[in-house]
Amino acid sequence: MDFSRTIIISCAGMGNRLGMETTKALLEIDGKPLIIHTLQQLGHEPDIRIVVGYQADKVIDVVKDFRSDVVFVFNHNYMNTGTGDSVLLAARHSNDYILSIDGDLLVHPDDMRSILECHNEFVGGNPIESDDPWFLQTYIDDEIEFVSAFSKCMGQYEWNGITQIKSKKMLKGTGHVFHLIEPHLPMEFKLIRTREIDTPNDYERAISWVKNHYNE
Amino acid sequence: MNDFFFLFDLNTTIIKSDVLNVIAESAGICDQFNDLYEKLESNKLSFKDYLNAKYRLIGENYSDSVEHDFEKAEISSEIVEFIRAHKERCIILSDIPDIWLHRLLNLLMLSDVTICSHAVEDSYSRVQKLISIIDERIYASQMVQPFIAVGSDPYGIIMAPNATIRLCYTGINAASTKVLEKATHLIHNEHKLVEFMEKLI
Repeated sequence: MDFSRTIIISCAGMGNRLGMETTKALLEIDGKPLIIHTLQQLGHEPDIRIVVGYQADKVIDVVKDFRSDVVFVFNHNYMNTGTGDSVLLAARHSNDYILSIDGDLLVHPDDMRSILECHNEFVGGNPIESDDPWFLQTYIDDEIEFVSAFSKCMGQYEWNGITQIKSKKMLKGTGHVFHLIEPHLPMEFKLIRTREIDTPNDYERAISWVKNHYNE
Repeated sequence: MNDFFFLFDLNTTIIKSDVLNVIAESAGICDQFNDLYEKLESNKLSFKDYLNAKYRLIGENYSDSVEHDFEKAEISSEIVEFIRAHKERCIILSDIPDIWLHRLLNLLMLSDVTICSHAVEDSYSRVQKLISIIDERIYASQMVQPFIAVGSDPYGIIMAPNATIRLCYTGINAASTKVLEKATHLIHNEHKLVEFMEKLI
């Protein structure tokens, strides 16, 4: 039986810290926009929603040329709201599970395959790399690692903005995506290799990562 | 289960193309059409006067049967199926006069769910007199039940501020900036649109 899932990619933000006057989903990496890398990795997933705001028309044009069956959801208030608000807009009237992916994230192809094969709830994280991360505090129970809290002070992993959760749990809240997840912890942890693009240095690292065939 | 109603724009949503624009092209009156539209956009014409002038232009310059052109128009068959399956919750709105839509709507078996402008025809099936105009935005403002607006016309149902969801469906066409500023969702693919609407039932 097919797994009932809606994939939400949040691309509404302005990417101010990057300073390139383009929404991060449209950044060129190895000859194609970041959002196309993500869509290619998602293959034939049947229900994809992309939240657009800043430069919505440009994102829509690029995506439409690649695949015509995406549902675009508008966050017109993108200047004053966070990714959590974007996800909530797209989560309404969705399938049983939501897989939420930030639009500024590059995911290792093997790990994306593993995500798509996963049919349970999880919180994604990777080894700590960023200067200013949100940490994941975890514990192991019966050989399964669970996320117990998000923290600004300490943790073994870094939250990377990917989660799969039952859609009925994503009905209210505001701020970042992890604010929406927090009330539902503990949740299973999933190690996912990613590169988040927030700064020009992040962007350079992401380009090198792809050119180096996603080798660390 | 939701209790949403669905309000659809007829032109470019149920019918895939803008039939009146195609007629304008074949009648050689595109410039006059554009001129009227510019006047509407710059508030030099009311919506009512704009439509009145537009339909009069067609009557004066087009010798073929407009009703027949509508009957031949390509239809969004999956949307039509959806409406037929949920007739008790669907309304189609159009500012196009009934005299041009009768045959098409009968053919699609959608006459009973369509509300359109009303006109009296002359012996050549032209608009002799426009009796009433359906302004979709005004109609929407009178809705009591929560509703989903489906369309892409900047003067159509998609602009209704009181719609719970403003679902812009463009098919192969690009949506105007004005519409994108108001829409809550945008879907290009008809099958995906129907799939999404089924979730709202």
